[in-house]
Formats: sequence, C-alpha cells, structure tokens
Amino acid sequence: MADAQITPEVAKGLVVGLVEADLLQGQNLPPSVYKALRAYQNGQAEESLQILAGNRCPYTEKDVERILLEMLSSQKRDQNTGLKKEPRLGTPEKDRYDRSLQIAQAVREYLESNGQNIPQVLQNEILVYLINMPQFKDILFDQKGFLRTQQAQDLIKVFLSQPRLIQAMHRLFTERLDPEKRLKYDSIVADLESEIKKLEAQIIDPQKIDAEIAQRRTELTQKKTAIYRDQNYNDYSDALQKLEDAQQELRELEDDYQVAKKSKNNSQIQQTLQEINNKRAEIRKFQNYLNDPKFSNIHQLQQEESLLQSQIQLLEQQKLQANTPEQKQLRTQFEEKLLELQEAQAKLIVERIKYATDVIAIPADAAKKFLNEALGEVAIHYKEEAKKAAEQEEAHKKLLEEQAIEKLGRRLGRREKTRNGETIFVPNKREAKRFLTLLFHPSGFQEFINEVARDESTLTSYGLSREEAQTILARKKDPKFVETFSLNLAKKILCDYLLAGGRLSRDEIFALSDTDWGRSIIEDGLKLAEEKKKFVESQLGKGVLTFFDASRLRGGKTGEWLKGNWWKIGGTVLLILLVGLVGPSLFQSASGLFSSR
Amino acid sequence: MDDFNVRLKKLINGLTKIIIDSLINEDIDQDEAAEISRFILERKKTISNYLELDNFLNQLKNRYFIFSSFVDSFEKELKIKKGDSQKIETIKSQLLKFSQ
Repeated sequence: MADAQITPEVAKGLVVGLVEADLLQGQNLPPSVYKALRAYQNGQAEESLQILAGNRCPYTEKDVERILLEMLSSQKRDQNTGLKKEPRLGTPEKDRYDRSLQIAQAVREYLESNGQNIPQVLQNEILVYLINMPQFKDILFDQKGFLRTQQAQDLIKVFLSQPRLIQAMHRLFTERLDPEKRLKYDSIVADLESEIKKLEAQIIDPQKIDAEIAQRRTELTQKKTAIYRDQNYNDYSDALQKLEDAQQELRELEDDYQVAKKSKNNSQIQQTLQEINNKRAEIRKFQNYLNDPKFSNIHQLQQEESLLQSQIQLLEQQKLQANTPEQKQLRTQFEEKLLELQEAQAKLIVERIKYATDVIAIPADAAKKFLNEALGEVAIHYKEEAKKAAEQEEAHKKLLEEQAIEKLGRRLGRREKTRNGETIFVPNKREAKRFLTLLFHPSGFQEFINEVARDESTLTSYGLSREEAQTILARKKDPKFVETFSLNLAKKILCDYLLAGGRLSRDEIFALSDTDWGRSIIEDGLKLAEEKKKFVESQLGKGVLTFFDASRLRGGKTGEWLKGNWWKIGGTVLLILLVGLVGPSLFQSASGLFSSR
Repeated sequence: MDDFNVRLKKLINGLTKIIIDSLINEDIDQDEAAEISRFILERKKTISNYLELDNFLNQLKNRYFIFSSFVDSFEKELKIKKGDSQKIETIKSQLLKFSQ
C-alpha cells in the first residue's frame, strides 16, 4: 500500500527536499533567508515573501531570552531545561544581560507590530542617538539648550514609523539574535576546561600529596585520642594486656613441651600439655571478652586508624613517583593549558561584551543605516547638481574665452579708421609688426599674452567686456591656454601684416619656421592659399588665377589690378614658396610676375 | 479556488522560488530581495483579473531581470490556457446551437 502512494511527483518532491536540505547545511544561509526557504518548502510561498520583505518578526520572546542567555551568561546549565542560568546578581555580566534583553525585547515588540507599537525603551534609544546627531540639535533643543520634549517625541515616532528604518531594524535584529549564533571562545574555553580536568587527574602533585598526608595524620591522631578517651578503654587495655601475656605464656609452654618431648619425660609432657590447654582456654576467654559489644567503638576506631595508616603509606609511595619525567611533562602541559584557559576566558568576556554591545546598539545602528541611506541620496543629488553647475560654468568660461579671442583677432595688429561716420579696424603693418616681433622671440607666446593681456584696462581697450577680460587674465598663466590664445591670434596678426603689405625678411622667415606656431601656420598655408584663391575668384571672376603667367596678367584688368596690388598677397605667396609648399610651375609664374614690376 | 486564483497562487509560488534561488546564488542581495518581495505583496492585492495579471507580469519583467524567463514561460502558458478555454467555449456554444 505504501509503495502505491509514492507517485513520481511525490518522489521528486522528496528528492528535491533532501537535496535542498543538504544544500542549506552547506551554504550557511542568513537566518531570514533560511526561514523564508523553510516556509516556501512548507508550501507557504506568501509567508516566505513576507519574511523576505521583512514583515515578520523572526523570533519569539523565548527565542530572544534563550539566545541572550546562551551568549551572555557564564553560568552552568540548568539540568532540567538545558538552558544556561541567569548571570549572578550584582555582576557586570548581569547588567549587560538585563540591558540587552530589555532592548532586544523592545525591538521584537516593535517589529511584531510592524512599527505600530513603539516601546518607551526603543524611543529612548533613538532619542539618545538623535541627540548626538548635529543635524537634529536645532530641532530637538531650544535656544537655552533644553530638550523640546513634544517635538522630540513626535520626531521619534515619525522616524520609527519609516518603512526603511523598520527594514533596517529587522535586518539587524535577525542577524544579531540568530539562535544558531555562538561565541567563538565559548567552545574553546569548554574544551580547555575538559583537557585540564583530564591532566589534573593524571598529575601527581607533591605539595598536594603532602597536604593530604598531613590531613590523614591529623585524622589518625584524632582516632587515637578517641580510642584513649573511650570509657571502656582501661578494661579493654587490661584485657588486651592479659591476652598478650597469656599468649606469651602459651608460647613458653609450647617451648617447654618441645624440651619435654626431646627428653621423653612422659609425666612432664602430660603436665605441659595440660598447662597449654589451660592457657588456650584462658586466651579464648580474653578474646571473647575483648569481642564484647562494649568495645565495638574501640574496634571501629581501630579499623579507621588502620585504614588511615595504609592511605598514608600509599600517598608516600605516590609522592616518590612525582618527579618522574612523565610527571614533569604532564605538569608542563597542565601549566600551559591553564595559561591558555585564562587567555581564552578573557577573550570570551570580551566577546560577550561585544555581543551585548551589538544587541544594545541595534536601534542606533538601524537609525544610522537609515539616515546614511537617506542623506546619501541627498548628497548624490547635490553632487549631480554641482557637477551640472560646474559644467555650465566651464562652458560659459569657454564661450567667454572664444568671444575674447574673436574680439582680439579683429583688433590686434589693426588701426581704427572712420569712414562715412562708421568706425572700422583695418590691418596695420606697424601695429602687426609690433606683435609679430614679440611672437618671434623664443618664449614669444607668453610675452605676447603678457603684452596683450597686461591688465583689465588693456583688454577692455580692445573691446572686451570686463567679464571677458577677467576670464583671460585668470587663464594667462595656464600654458595650454597661452598656446591656444597666442596661436590663434598669431595667425590672424600675420595675415593682417601680410595683407597690409608687410614683408618678412629671410631671417624672419627662418625664425618663423623655427616656432611652433610658425610651423602650424605653414601647415595651414595651403588651406589659406586655397581660401584666398576662392575669395579672389569670387570677387574677380572664375579662372582668374589660372592666368597667373605674366603675359596674360599684363593684358587684362585683373592683371592690371594684380600688378598694382601684388604686395597684398605677395607676402603669403613668398612664404609658401620659400618653404616649398607649392609646385615649381607656380613659382615660375610668380617669379615672372614679380620680375615684371 | 477558481482558475484565476489557482494561477495567481502558482505565480506567487514561482516568483518566491526565483527570489530564494537568486539569493542563494547571490544574484541579488537581501535588500533587493526585500524590495522585490514587498513589490509583489503590494501588487498582489490589486490583481483581480487576467488583464491586471498581464500588467503585473509586464511590470515584473521590466523591473526585475531575474524574472524575465520565468514570466515569459508563464505568459506563454497563460496564453495557451486562455486559447484552450476560448475554444471550449466556442464548441460549447456551437453544441448549444445544434441542440436548439
């Protein structure tokens, strides 16, 4: 019948159950997960979710009491319940136990009610924690430094009804009051005590033996005194003496009998035999008398006396063995174990104190975790805001810099010119040359920026706003900015110089190719030439620059213009030609053009 | 217990197992498990028909990666079951027509 009930489903369930049980043992799951799993395995999935969600208090009042006794008491176990007894009254251990129990039970009540019932003990613990938080000082205390009781109570109640705080409390309570928890040194101390007991049984301690011998001897003396003091002792002693005398006389008679036997004196033999018989009867009489019940106390005392004497003898023999190598080794082991035990006991006390502290700190630690998480989120928010603001500020600065460079590009190396009431800035050879001279110096960029951005008024005189001027001044020591700033402006100034008819000497050209910005401008040279070409084409008609040979230029209008204005692009072209960036055909055409002048 | 509640119970059972397995495999931590469990318990109260159940399954799939494959297979099963019951209903109504 039983076999028929085991369906494949049942068998599968059993196997899974067994496998899972093994897994659980090996994995050492946190207590709440273990409980949730157990609930799930018992078909209570929703209850399992409730446990995982932290909506169930995992331990009963008894559970809490049991684990605290186990962890905090150094007393022996009760034979009936198997639980450790409560710590002794008036000891620090008892104080720790009471306080831990009080707080743990308060947290349990709080968790059982899902934060609805807040015991006073718990409120006090949270109040103590909050009082020490600088963030709450202004709320909790008035200006005179007195606690605002009502506000404090309201705050604590709001605080303790927060689901995340309940969860934090649940987690800590579940972990710290785990019934499976044990102190590491508890078992170490128990093992050491057992080892010491075993060693103690094997060790012969001479001092201990001496003390025992002395004890036995005292007892022996007491027995002897008791015998002498017995009321029948004199009778006993007389009878004993008489018995001993009679026994002596009997021995003498027996000697006489042997002599008579040797001499074959029959009458003497008969007489001696008669005397022997009489003596034996006399001895029996004394012996019977000595066995009288009135001497039983003396007999008892004599037996005890005899036992004590044999014990003393045995102890003295043992004492002789106390100095064997084996005994010495055992004593050394014993001493070592004693030291280990003392150390382990001290560590066990420390462990107990720490455990009690952990239990007592459950409300404060939960509050701390809750506040850290809450404040952490605020901090993250502010960090993100600050990052955004910094990025915006950086972008604004960048814009100001670009605007400033742009404005300077339109003013440096130029002079003011008013035409029809309108002021414009046109390239000025002298002005441009002044800056170029600075730029040709080995540390030209820095000298250039120092000259241009001498101070705020210098910069505003070039048309910069105060904000733009300040931005430039703030960055004028930054080498990267100096390079960007000077390179951008150097190209424009050089262009202006060349457009204004400025010429570069051979030495200046070589100096130019030695500078970073000079090389850069050469690299840009082809592009620039292309742009200029396009510009001129758009202004003067397409294909104009293909007539770059002298004969065609001389004939047309374009040729006429170029003949009169060649210097306007001559500098650039010369620069490009000198560094070999254009082909030889153009060089030939250009040389023809120059020679025609 | 009607068919819908049986389905719901089966779903809760399956979800619980996944949470516990994920905890054991350390795919999620206890805080995440608590958050997911609370979400399921809260949402469960509001589910009273198949449409709400579908919405719940979609939310689960989108919010918590651990459920994606389970929810997919559960949805498939649910769809098949729904199709079957629709077919049965059609056959029933046709038979009823014939009998009339």
